[in-house]
Amino acid sequence: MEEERKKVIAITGVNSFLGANLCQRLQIDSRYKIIAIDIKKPSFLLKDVLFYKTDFTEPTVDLTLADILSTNNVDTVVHCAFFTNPMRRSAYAHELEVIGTMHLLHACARVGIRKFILRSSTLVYGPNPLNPNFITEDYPLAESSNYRYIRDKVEVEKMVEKFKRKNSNTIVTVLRFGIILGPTVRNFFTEYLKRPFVVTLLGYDPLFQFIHEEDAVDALKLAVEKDCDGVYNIVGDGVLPISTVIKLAGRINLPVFHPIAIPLVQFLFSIGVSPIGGKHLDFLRFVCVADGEKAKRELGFMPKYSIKECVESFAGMQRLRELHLIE
Amino acid sequence: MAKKLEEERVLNGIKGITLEERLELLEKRLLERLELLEEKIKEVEEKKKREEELSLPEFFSRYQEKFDEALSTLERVKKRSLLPRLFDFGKAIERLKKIFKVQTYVNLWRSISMWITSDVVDEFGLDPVFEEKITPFFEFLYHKWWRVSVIGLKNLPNKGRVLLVANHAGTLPFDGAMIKYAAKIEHPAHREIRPLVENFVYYFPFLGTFMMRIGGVRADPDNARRLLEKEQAVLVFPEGVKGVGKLYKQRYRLQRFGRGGFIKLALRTRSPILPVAVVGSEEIYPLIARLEGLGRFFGVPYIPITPTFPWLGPIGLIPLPSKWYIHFGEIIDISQYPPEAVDDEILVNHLSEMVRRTIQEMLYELLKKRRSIWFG
Repeated sequence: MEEERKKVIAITGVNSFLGANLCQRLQIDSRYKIIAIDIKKPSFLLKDVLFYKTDFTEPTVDLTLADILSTNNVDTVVHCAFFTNPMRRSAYAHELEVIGTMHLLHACARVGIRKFILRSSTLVYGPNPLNPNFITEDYPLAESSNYRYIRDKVEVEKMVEKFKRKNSNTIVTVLRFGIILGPTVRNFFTEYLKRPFVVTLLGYDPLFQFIHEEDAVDALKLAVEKDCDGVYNIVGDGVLPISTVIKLAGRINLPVFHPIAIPLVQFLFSIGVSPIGGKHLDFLRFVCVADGEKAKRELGFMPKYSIKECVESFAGMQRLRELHLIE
Repeated sequence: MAKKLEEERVLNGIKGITLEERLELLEKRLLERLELLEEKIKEVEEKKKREEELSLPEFFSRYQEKFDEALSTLERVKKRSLLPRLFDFGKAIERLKKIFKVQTYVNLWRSISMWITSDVVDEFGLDPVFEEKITPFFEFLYHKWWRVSVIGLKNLPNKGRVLLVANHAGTLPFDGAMIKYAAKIEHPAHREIRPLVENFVYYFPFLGTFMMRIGGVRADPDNARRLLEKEQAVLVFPEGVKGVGKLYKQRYRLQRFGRGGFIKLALRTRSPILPVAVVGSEEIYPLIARLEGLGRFFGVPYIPITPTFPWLGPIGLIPLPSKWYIHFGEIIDISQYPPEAVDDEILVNHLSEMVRRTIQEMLYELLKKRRSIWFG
């Protein structure tokens, strides 16, 4: 009887930063029963958490997923199975992110899931000098971007939008997270800030925004608890120019003329030295800042950390790591 | 000599004298010696005193006088000769010394990598520290170069949202900066005006960042609405690039006011409109022709051809020192129309045309009064 009343939450990609943190928080919450789905079993799972080893790139994964969802009577699906960093094997990334999401959505449509939460990113707006300074959720996405990493993410959002149109009974929450920064998170931006010399583009100093890792997990948990239909930007308060971010992180700014920097970074990316490709450098030229008002208003999400505190918390922990005081 | 010998003898008791006499003699000599000693002590003390009187400050002040004298002589020499007046040797040497200092290169590096910024920028990227650094340049242009005269600044309200609409001219958007500084320097409330800047600026390195740091905002309806809703003063040039790039023969003839976007903005945010006329801006770079094809190659709307540019190279970039007038007109209140009126395109066009006519009339009035381009 007790088991019956528990809400069943399926989390895909429990090895991803947000998936792992959400799973760790919800598995100790007695209100929820967790179904973890990933290709590799993480070490932190409690005994009563059901783990399904699933490969999203398999052609028949939709049936497997539908099976998992229906046998466990899943109420909410949290889809976090995405790559945080741009991948060199972009065809594989496309397969996992776009085709994998397609299979999951097919499975959700089959079992008539009650709620679907998508972890997306504010990168979908794309860097563009013509972006407004604060992009709201209804701003058109960068569909025609020449950068595949962004195009894949936009494609996923488009599919989810189509899914919502067809299954209007399902609550669909799309959370577009800003760049996540904090003491423990690891992504391309923390890689970027780890170097002693940080490459920027000569003459460009766009505004950046971040979200603290705790706030990001809070927002995801809020989306699980509250039934909010729609798209939300999840970002911290305020903006900082990239030069100030680098200064706060205690690094040295290395401005490079962009016609030189872009092919150079692309080359470094292809040999595995740089965490980002040359096309990603457009984010260092043009503004791509989202407006977080809607999430505050409707989702009730209040970021605890300002952008400056995000950078400082990362920089402080990074310093300790460099001194080998912590792992 | 004989007397002394006698005394010696007496003292040593060789000569037969009484004991009392001997004692007397001894006493006498002792007293003499004591007096001598006292005199010597006094001498030493006096010498010490004299040394103390000549203390350190005085010692230096003596040299200070000499130093001052030398300086004044140098000044006199400088005044007489022509060369030092034309060329400051001291400064030149300072500069030469700087070349060999590491700090110079560090500073250069910091300015290129935009380190001379404060930690806090506002949400549109305005940096108060950077703005303050650049202010002397604009103040020079405002007071000395163009000698801007401001009329009707009282029409600009002390607070609350307001949409300033101005004519645009002069190839480079100096008029935006001058209107901004007029309100900042001369208005009693020192109002901060946020000018909306053309899109193409933001594609360029340095230029876009510079505009952002001094308070420019990209001309986007969403940005403008956000600013007005925060009760700020927003300056808009509805003519856009057509206005800045009009030829000299078309001067002070207002171009089409876009598609009435600024009226829609005012209707939506219920902001009053303040028409502003700028005279003098057309003459700073008299545009003879504009090369649009070549401009497209460089990513700018056009390459300007003026009497001095590009013939004189960078010297051609110096704007001509015309006399400027900035007239802040009467506020146009359109609050009688509801925000839904934005869908009434004919009304929007009518209002836009009305504002355009007002500014055009203000311009003609100012031009009628003006006697000379350079002296007003």
